[in-house]
Amino acid sequence: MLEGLLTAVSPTYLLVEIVGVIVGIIFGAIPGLTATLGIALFVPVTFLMSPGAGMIMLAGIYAGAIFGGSISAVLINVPGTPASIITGWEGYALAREGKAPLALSLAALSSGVGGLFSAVALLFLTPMLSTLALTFGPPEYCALLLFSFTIVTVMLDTPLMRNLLGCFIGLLLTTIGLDPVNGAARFTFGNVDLMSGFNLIAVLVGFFCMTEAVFLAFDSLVESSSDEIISYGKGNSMGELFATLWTHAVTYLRSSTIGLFLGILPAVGPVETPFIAHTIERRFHPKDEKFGKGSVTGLIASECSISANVGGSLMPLISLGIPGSGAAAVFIGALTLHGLQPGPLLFKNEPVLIYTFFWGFIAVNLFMMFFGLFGARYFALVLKLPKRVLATFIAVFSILGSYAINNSMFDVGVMFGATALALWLRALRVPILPIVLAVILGPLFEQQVLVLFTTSAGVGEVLGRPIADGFFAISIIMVVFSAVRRLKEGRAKPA
Amino acid sequence: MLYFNLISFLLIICGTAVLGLQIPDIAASARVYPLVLMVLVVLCTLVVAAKEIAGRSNTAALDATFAKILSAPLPQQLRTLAFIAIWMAYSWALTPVGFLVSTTCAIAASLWLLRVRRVLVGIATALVFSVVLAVLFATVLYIPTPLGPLDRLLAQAIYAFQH
Repeated sequence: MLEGLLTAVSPTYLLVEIVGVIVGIIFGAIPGLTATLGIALFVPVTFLMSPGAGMIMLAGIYAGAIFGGSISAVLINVPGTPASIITGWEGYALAREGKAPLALSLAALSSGVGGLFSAVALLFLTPMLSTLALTFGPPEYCALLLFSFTIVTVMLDTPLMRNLLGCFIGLLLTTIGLDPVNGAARFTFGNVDLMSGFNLIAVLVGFFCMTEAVFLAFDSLVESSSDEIISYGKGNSMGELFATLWTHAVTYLRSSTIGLFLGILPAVGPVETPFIAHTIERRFHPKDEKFGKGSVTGLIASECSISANVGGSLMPLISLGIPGSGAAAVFIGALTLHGLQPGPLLFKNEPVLIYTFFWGFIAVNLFMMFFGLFGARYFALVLKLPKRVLATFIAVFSILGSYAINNSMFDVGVMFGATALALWLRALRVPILPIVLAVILGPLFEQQVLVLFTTSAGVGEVLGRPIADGFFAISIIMVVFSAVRRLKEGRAKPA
Repeated sequence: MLYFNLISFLLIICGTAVLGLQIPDIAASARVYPLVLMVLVVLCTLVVAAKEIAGRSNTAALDATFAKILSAPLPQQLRTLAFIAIWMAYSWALTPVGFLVSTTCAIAASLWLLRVRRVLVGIATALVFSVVLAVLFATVLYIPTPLGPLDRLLAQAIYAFQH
């Protein structure tokens, strides 16, 4: 742990943390750019860094982007990232009352508090989870992966069959290449490039970056007027701001806990979390009439929970190899680039790397709070960047990033194929998250299923494993509840 | 939209069937898992298609972003398609033409297509960006880029400068 701390505060790593946070805030502040896009775009860049520095930079981008979305949400009522919708409700209303500095500073402070809460939880809880995961065998892994797929398919609002279709398509795509156990070639059509399957980073860049470039290009052609940016005005007293830590301490704690817990679940990312936290917080403040219309408590609940969600989503990623959100899923690409497999063995084999990452994540949240408190008004300048320029350069970096992985145009082709697939499935209203999760976890899932069927004596042996039973039971309960809820919703709708 | 969706579902089933034709060529132990997935994909597709036909699909008729694209004037739709075509052409041209020329042309073309009014500024930006990126790739990132005539000249210049 100490070695990790010393590495994380070395000059090189401090620079990487600062760069990551600044890049992240810029990405988050610009409407149309998301945390996932920023992370996916910079994954190839981490190839030149040590694994620890690369991971910390991506964490900085993630945390910075999540906060950065609040800048445009507060100043122009356009959420920079989908996670900042609630911040827009509360923050923009405050800004219109002449309290833009308070709104942005509160957003920065809340993000910092939530982020630090989850960073500390990451530091202390992940080792425990990882130790538990070392006792996992194929039954536990199969049950856990099934639970992950289940939670993604039942918790999304899109129709269940479409979610399942996306999941199965993603799993089927991962079968292209060499079979992980026997090494037999599958669906390669004699093409040597397909022997290793589709490169994960190229696929993720196609899913998240190039598609956004296309939509940004379209938006730039359609939108004729620029958004009105609210004047920033004079700054806020720091004393007043930090006083909210006492007056709203329970809100900070409650929202951070909710965000952390929801972050651990694979399907509940930073987009849904603030809605849940905001709704729960409203129940504790029934007399606050400003909730949703400029409430300080609502703003704190939203930002705190979103940033806590970031650390929460990284916890199952590091300890189990299962991402807690789409953005966290892209981290796996970075680890894969460095030849590292996320999961409990990573913790066992590379403890210094992991602890460096944990301390770096704490530092990243401190920097995010610092830049947010003192620099938000300057980051607002990026709101003036035209979308046409952004679309062009995102396209360039998507192509060059895909090419740079293996110096291969085949990966660029894979990237375009993934873009086409993402656009096509989006038109069909098949959500992308199940596909992404399936593409990332598919090879591990197949491996564990095959080992399970080969080594287990029968169903009895599988059912005799309490952890596996627990995951199976929760999965079944979730499917039943979801089916009942959807049936009720279907009946409640007018004919 | 219904016809588009049904044709898409048919394409998914056909694509799965094409993969299915490869199954006999795969070793027996390696074919079970993908075969199960193929069956699940086809079943899910059929159920979703049946729900669409029966009109029981309980989401909005069209994704909001695509609704916006489809309702936009034709010139804007064509420009969006042209944007995609430019970048696909860029990928194709990278190897024969080289990094510098293809990147400069692609960025300039993209900015012009997306209605950046100052064309000369767009071309200059594209050129400067391409050169900076080429130097970065060669001297800092050590990522070899496809070499065209101008790239070779730049590489010689960098070598001469470093030595």
